[in-house]
Amino acid sequence: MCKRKYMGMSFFLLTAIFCAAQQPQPIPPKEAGMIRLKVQEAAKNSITIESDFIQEKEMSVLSEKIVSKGKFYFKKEKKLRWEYTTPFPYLIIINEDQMLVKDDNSENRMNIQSNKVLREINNVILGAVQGTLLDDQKRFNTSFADARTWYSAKLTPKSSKLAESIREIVLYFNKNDYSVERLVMREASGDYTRIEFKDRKLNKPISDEKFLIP
Amino acid sequence: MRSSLFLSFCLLVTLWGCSPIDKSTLIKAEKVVHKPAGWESPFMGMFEKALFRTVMDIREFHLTGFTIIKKSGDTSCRIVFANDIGMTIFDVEFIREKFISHYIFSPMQKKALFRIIEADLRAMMFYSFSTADVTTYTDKKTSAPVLYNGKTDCYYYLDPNTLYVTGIAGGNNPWDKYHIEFDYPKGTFVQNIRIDNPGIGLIIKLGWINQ
Repeated sequence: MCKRKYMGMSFFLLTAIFCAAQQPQPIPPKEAGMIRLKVQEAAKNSITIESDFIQEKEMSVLSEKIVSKGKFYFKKEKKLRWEYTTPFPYLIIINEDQMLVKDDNSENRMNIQSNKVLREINNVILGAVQGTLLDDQKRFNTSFADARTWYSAKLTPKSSKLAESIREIVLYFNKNDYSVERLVMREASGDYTRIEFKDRKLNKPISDEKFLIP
Repeated sequence: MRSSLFLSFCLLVTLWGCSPIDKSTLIKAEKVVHKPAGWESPFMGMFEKALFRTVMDIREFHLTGFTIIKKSGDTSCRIVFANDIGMTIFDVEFIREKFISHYIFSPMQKKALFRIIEADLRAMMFYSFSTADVTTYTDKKTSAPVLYNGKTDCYYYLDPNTLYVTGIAGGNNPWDKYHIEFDYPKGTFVQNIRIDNPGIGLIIKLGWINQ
């Protein structure tokens, strides 16, 4: 009886220790500064990124998540290509100030600079994908955390105007190369979008044609 | 002379603003025989929820993404439009005659715009009428039956073969006139919807995603 009790307690203790080890721990400012520098360096050295992605949108109005999947390409400075394959194929290309959204039925071209909504969204996305959003200390407060396999940076908007749209953006950095492997964008309503980058290839040559907007 | 010209112009604008459509395009016709003896929106009855690919154009805004339409009760419905990367553009709810905006992306927070969007969505979501409620016409160009419902002051265009509602024209002022097209290529649930508000240059296109 006594042995069984000890076994139970040990199991409970081990589980608690394991869970505590998984919990992200806040990082003090000095160490955070170092991570910031490492991320900056990684962003500077990331000329191209090619990756698969899974995007999940959780909304209070729906019991199930909306899951989209596809392929992602980034090329410095401002070239992005999102190829959605699921739930159905469509394509978004951003090339400097131009943007193309293409699906089965239509093709839409836009100038990002002349559209303040797109400009705002694009800045957040480009900054989040590269991790350079950490440098945007004018608009965001940042707090860092450390978990077993990643560092996270939680960005909360400073201005109430931006906070009306975004409650927080959390970027998860890989501990080996300091690249962004996951981002979570939480809206004021509590709904969130989670984008996970998988099978990432850094600095593999990507042809400019991938970002061509005809 | 100048004032009579101005008056004529005002009269023209007023007359133009009186009806959602040009009535001269219609001729009176016999009542349409339809079973059941009425029509209702594809978002009523057994409808629960649907996901649509969405393109929205309004002045300087061009937005693409997804719209979720979900029934939250017999007379209530939630509509959420999020852009491609998942950021919510608007989240609104109809509860009976009430319109609640849970969230509107700040650059789009314009009361007048959302009054128009509310009217468009209400017309799309909640039409329901019987043959007794309507006057029947035929469109001169297409020979399609057109039903006028005095209660809603809307014209409902029917497909001559299926008798599905494939178009709604409503609104009495130049800026709030709307035209909604429904497309049923596969005959079950509406596949494509297009909402036009030419007065303010608003176009919303919805393409059903069977997920």
